[in-house]
Amino acid sequence: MSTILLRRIGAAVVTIWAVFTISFIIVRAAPGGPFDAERDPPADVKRAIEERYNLDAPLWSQYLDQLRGWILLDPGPSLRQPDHDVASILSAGLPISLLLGGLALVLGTTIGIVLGMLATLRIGGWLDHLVVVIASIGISLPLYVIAGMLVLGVSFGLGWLPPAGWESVPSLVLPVLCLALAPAAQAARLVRSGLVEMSGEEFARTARAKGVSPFSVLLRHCLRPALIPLVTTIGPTAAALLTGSLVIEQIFAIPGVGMHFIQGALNRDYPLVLGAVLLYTVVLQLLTLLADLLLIALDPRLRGESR
Amino acid sequence: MKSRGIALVLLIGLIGTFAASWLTPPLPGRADLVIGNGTDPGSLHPHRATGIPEGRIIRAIHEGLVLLDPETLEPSAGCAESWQVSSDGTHYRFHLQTSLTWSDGSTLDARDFRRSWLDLIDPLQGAPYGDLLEAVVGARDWRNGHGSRQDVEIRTDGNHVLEIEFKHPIPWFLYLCAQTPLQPVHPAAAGRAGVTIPTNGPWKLIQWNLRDRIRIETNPHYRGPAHPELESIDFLAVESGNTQLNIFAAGMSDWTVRVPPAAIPVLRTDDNWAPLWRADPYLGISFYRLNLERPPLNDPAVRRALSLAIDRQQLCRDLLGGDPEPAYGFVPWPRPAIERQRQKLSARGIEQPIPTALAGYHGLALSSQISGQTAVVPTSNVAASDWPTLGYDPEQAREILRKAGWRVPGTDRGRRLPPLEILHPSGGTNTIVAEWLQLTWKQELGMETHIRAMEWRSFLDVQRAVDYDLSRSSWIADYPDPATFLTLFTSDAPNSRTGWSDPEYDRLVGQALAETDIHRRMELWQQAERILLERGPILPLWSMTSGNLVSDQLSGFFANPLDQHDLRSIGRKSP
Repeated sequence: MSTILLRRIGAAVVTIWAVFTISFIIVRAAPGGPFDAERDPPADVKRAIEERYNLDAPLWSQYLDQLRGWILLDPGPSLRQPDHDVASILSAGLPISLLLGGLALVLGTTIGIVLGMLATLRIGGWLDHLVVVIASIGISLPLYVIAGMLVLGVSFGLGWLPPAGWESVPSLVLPVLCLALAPAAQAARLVRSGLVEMSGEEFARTARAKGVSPFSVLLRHCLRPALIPLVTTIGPTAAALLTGSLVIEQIFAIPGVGMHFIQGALNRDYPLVLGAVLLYTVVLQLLTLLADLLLIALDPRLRGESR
Repeated sequence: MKSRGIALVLLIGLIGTFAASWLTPPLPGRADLVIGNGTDPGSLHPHRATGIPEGRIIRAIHEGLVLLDPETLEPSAGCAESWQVSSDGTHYRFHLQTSLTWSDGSTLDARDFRRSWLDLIDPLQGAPYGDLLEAVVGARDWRNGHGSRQDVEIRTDGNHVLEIEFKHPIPWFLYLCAQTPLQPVHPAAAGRAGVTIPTNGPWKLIQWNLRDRIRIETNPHYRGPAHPELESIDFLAVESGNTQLNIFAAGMSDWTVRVPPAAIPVLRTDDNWAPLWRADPYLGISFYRLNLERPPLNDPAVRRALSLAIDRQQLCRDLLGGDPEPAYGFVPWPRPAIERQRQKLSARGIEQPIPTALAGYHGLALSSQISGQTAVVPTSNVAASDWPTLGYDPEQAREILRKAGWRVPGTDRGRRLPPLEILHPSGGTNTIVAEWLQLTWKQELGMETHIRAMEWRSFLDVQRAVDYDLSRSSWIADYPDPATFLTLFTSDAPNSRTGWSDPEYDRLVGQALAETDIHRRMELWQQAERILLERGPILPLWSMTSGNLVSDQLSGFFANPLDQHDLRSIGRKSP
């Protein structure tokens, strides 16, 4: 187990370094610079600004500086928001994204599991069809459509919840619901298909033959193995949810970290873009690692393979 | 065992969620005034800030030597209780109030202003707006490496008198004294701003939640002349216009500065929204840059035909929501356009004074009527009723092209116009305007164009390299004077981005800048604008309007051509 862990951590470190390097090359290859504007400052002033942020140094030197900064967790100030360090910008948004993403993950996964089970109670029944339809809608409808409809209906139609902002607990409800929809749909589909498969297995048939009720068979015997496919997808899903959503943050004015991916790139705020990409990569690696370890713990057969 | 695993994951998620909520900054209650301030501010350091959202906050937490009347923009006492200007307009002597303090209670005097202004000019500090003070004696030499800080003629006489000497008159200098870059900066700032850095305005920074809001509250040490009514103000950082509108509609903000363009027709006409929608003349011009090095744009006949083929009235009414006014010159909002705006507001039942954008200046316009040898006419002679279609005559456009040897629709003689490329930044109304121009020029002149949309900074890169045929542009006044527009296209101007150079134009601009007589000065600006319109690399489209949604519960919000609304004058109406 410890060998696997060490091997996975080593692979994660290499992956993070590779992502950092490729991201650095891509963002620096983009035309334009962080201090470009409709009204450009005079050339000497622009030179002074670039000197201040070490942007006049050779690219390899800037790369090493950035790499060193991130290793020491001190990447320096943002280029567009120079009153703040990149680390403080990301750490200000991260708890908010974790809060929203965490709630959405828990809510979405729970609802998905329940829906998947309900659908399997009577395969081909109306409830099954309803769950399949809901899951398809949840996966295929773009977030901005769902969010727009919720704002229109719940905020302005019923007047129950604020349409945006980060002011109170009610302001969390709509963004969490929107974020939870896709993972719920995904979980419902995976759990349903897993349960359908498991309920045809010999152990399920035996249990039913012994007179155990169908619901009890599903819950006590089939659910556990049926959850394994869900666990394999939960790592990337959680990483995407926990590091913020550009669309949801924009529509609901949520000050998470998701917007930094796009705004940082559009503003050519090189340290911020790299920070956002690194954050996502690290969270993804951590959660994937966690999911793998969990899978090994859940499925004894994998322990043998991993040796 | 396995379901316990899933339960464990969910439990970890729940614990993580509650841990995150514990780490999340506390959510503040509602302030006396909530402003949907647009994008998250960059820097709040007066020397580093470049944007309008930043300026709105900085002018609230700082106070310059003068304040501007919220209605007329006339200078009044700020940190300076009085001032004298020499008869040639080159020497200013400010008498500062003696009881000034920073928000930490320490003394603020003329030496702080001198240090701040010298830092602004300092080439090593890299302040983007340092060139605003380049006309100070010794400043340019210092920035060019031929002088020193001590050579710059910004002097103190005791602790409460500040003197400044210019090489030539700067009639807009008092206005500049109220602007962001010339605010005093505390010595502890060291290039940064934040809640711990003292400021000197009637409010001070209390909370800065990134990408959420900035909270300012009354500064107990403020001893200036203003008596603001509001104790606390929130500036919401909301990027999306749709979200801003939603927040305003839900009563969570009192004033929003950004709305989606698609909503404007509704805001203008709906009975509930129209009284709240404030689209006032704004000193900004929307235009296209033309690359005169590339054929056929090097032919004046083609440039004139392109302009004459555009129905700017239709453009403003059908594509831009109806608030902007057609522009036929480069200095926006001449008198007929202002008059038209007044008529439009009156037709909507809104009676409000609209101040003249640039007092004393009568702009010029590219007209379809030839007067003498030129199509450029003084706007002072144009009636407001003639303004919408003053420079629109597609028949004349085709005739001009035909006479110049180009092929026009309906004939098969002459050279075929080569296709042109329309370059514009993606987003906003840029795309629909480019597509509308493409259609217009195809239908009226038979000219093919290709549209090239680019992300903003890539677009700027291409525009700076003058690698375009026609390039979407706009320019917003730094100060209320024709100079802010007409110095843009001199040969040595850093933002011309056209490669255009005209010695006569440069000479006239130089003369206008040095002229002390106000009337002569305005004549020189007119002559310069005439050359720009006749020979220059621009295609004016429309004079810009502000776009504010303001709650009817607020008082003290006035139209002004710089869209600057001093929060010191804003209050809440009595119930």
